[in-house]
Amino acid sequence: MASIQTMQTCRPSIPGLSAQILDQIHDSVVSTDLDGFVTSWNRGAERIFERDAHEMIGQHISVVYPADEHDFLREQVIRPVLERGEHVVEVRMLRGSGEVFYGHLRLNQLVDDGKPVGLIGYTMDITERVKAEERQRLLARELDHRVKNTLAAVVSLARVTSARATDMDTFTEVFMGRLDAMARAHEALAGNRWMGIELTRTLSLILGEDPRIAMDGEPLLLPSAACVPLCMALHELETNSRKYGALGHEQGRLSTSWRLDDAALCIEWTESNGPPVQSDPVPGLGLTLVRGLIEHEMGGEVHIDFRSVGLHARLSVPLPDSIL
Amino acid sequence: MSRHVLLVEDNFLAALEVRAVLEAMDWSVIGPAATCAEAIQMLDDGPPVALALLDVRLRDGDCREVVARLRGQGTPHALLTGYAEPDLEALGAAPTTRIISKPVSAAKLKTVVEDLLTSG
Repeated sequence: MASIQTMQTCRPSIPGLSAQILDQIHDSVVSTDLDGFVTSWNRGAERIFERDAHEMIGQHISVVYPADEHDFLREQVIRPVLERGEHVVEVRMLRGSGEVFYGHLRLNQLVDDGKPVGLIGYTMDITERVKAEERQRLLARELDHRVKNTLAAVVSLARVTSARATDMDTFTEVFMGRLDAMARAHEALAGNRWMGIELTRTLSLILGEDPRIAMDGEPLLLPSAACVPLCMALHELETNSRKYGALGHEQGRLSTSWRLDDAALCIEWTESNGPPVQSDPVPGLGLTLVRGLIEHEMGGEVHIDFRSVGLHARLSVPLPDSIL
Repeated sequence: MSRHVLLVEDNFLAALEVRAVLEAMDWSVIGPAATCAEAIQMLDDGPPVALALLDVRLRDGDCREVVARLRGQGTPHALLTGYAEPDLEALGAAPTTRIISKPVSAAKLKTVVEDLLTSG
C-alpha cells in the first residue's frame, strides 16, 4: 500500500501539449515513479508493448518484462539509474501478446524541484537487429566449419595423390586437376548463393564444351551438399576417360544421361568409339575416389562396367525429399 | 588390449586422411562410418574397440546417438570437428570431451589418442 501512496503523490504530470509531442515519437516513452509504477505511457509504448495507456497507468513496469528478467530489471535496469541518474541497457521485454522481444532502453531520473520523483525510459525495439546479428554469427560459424572441412579434404587429396605419383610434375598435374574440380564446384555454388547447381551446369563445369559429349535429362537442381562430391567424382571419370578411354580419342563419344529413380538421381555415363577396353584393369585411385565420394559421402551407389565398347558407369545418388 | 578404433566421419577424403594417420600409429580402423546407424551397427557387429573418433555432423544428423552409446559402454572417445566450439551439451557429450579440430594434425591426433587411453 505504501508504494501506491508514493505513486499517487509523486506522479509527474504531463500537460496535454507535452503528451501530444511524446505521442509523435515512434518509440516508447514511459515514465514511472521511484518504485517503478507507470505514470505515463505514450502511443509508441502502446505500439511496442501492445498495451493501452489506460491499462498500464498505475501498473508496475515489471509486467512488460518476462519473469526470468525480473532480477535483471531490479539490479541492472532500475538500480543503476537510481544510483547514477542515467543508464543505457539492452534487455528482453514482453509484449501484451506474450511475445518476447529485445529492447534498447535509455533511462533517466525525473527531477522536480531538485528532488528525484521518478524515472523516464525511452525504448526502441531492436529485435530485428539482434536477430540479424544472430544470423550473422551462425553464418560465420558455418563458414568456419566449411572452410576447415574443405582444408581437411585438400590435405587428404594431397596425401592420396602423392602416394601414387611417380614424380613431382605428375603430382602437381593430378593434384591441381582435382583441386580445380573442387574449386569450380565451390565457385558455381557461391554464384548461386549456396542453393545448389543445375545438373546440366554441374556436368558442363567438369566436362566443358565438347561436341563429342552428349547430355540428356530433365532440368534438375542438385542440392548444395551434393555438388562438391559429385563434381569431384565426375572429374575422376573425365580424367580417366581422357587418359585411357573415349575422350582420349578424336572419334570417341561420351553420353551422359540422368533420370529420377524412386528417391535417387541416377546418372549414366556411357563411353564409346574409344580404344579397346581392358577387361580387367587394375583399379586406380580415380575409381576408388568415385566410389568413396558417391557411396560413403552421399550414401549412393556406383556400378562400373568395363564393356568392350567403352566404360559404362552408373552413379545413383539419393536426393532429399524437398527436391523430389 | 584391443587395437581397434572406430572412425565415424562422413567426408570421404577427411576419413581417408585420419585413417592413414591412425594406421601409421598401428591402429586397426573400424569404419569409417558415415552415419549414426552405420556406426552403431559397427559397434554391435564388429570387434570391440578401445576408442572412437567422431565427426560431429554426419550424413543422417549429428553424432549424439553414437556419443550416448559410447558413454553407455564406457568407450573413450574424442570429437573430430570443423566447429571451433561444438555444442557438447546438445550432443550429450561430457564437458571434458576432447576436441580434435580439422584439418587433423598427426601430432594432435597422437596426443589425444594417448590421453584417451590413459585417462579415458
